[in-house]
Amino acid sequence: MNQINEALEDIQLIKRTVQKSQSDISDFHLIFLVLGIGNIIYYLCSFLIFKMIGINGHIMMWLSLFNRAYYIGALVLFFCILKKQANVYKRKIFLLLGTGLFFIPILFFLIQILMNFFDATRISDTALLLIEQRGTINVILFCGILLLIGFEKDLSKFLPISVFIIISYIIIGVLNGDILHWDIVLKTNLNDSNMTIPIKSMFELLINTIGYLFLGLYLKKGKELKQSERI
Amino acid sequence: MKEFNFPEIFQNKLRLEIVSCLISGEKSFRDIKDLTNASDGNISAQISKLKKENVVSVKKEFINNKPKTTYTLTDSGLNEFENYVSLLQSILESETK
Repeated sequence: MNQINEALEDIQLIKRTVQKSQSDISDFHLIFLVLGIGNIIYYLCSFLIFKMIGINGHIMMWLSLFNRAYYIGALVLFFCILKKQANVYKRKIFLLLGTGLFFIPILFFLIQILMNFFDATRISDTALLLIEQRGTINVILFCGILLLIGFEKDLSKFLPISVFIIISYIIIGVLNGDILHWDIVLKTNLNDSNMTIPIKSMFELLINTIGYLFLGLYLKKGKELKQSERI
Repeated sequence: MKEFNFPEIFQNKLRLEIVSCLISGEKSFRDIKDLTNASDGNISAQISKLKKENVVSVKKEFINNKPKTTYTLTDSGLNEFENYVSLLQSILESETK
């Protein structure tokens, strides 16, 4: 009986340790949900405020602060997940993911802050181009994140999705002439004047909102399935 | 009832924990510490024992001029661990018979 108890104890210890050392990329679901939901609220509020009040510097500043707040929240979550991760290889993958998710938005944020301090004529063309192409960079970034998650989860699912996103994005750009400087496609009436929202921007907006939201929900579902299998 | 012989190397719980966490790949000392919540001295002592028994191999390298030590399960260590898990299974199966 003593040996059986010991065997049971050891099996539980092995199971617990192996599970603990194998926390996977699904833990990131919360970060993607925070970014997806945060972006939805941010874009929706920006649109409604612009439609009802027009451009209001004070409100826009608060909205911008809200935008920074959920990014900081997601960054804190990222470090908590990174701290828990004990596997050296996975920690490197997580770091790569975090760099993509947070380094580029922080870089844009810093460029924007610096731009506020300097005269427009003194700002380099590179900085202006970076800000101008922010949406394109975000789409490429999202596809990179999809591929990285694909390597960890299931590349056969994630590779076609990211290829599809990139191809759709290129087609949308090409159909509208210049891919980098794309023109009016969709017109809505805002503040008694025509406002143009290019489909390219709508595509970028969908990636930043629904894209991250779906990614978060997919990983969450995967994690729940894995946990139920363990039980 | 049949008596089973537990291998000496896995009779220590911390040693078993260290080997279990190395199953998913190489780990640094900090990784092992995070996973086991054991003290540095205790981990060092058990790793030395595992190293002596050729269960664990040690890789020392310099990354950005900082020394970094990682631990990996050797092939014989993996074999011993698999045999131990099989032994545990047979103990439990013998009880159900």
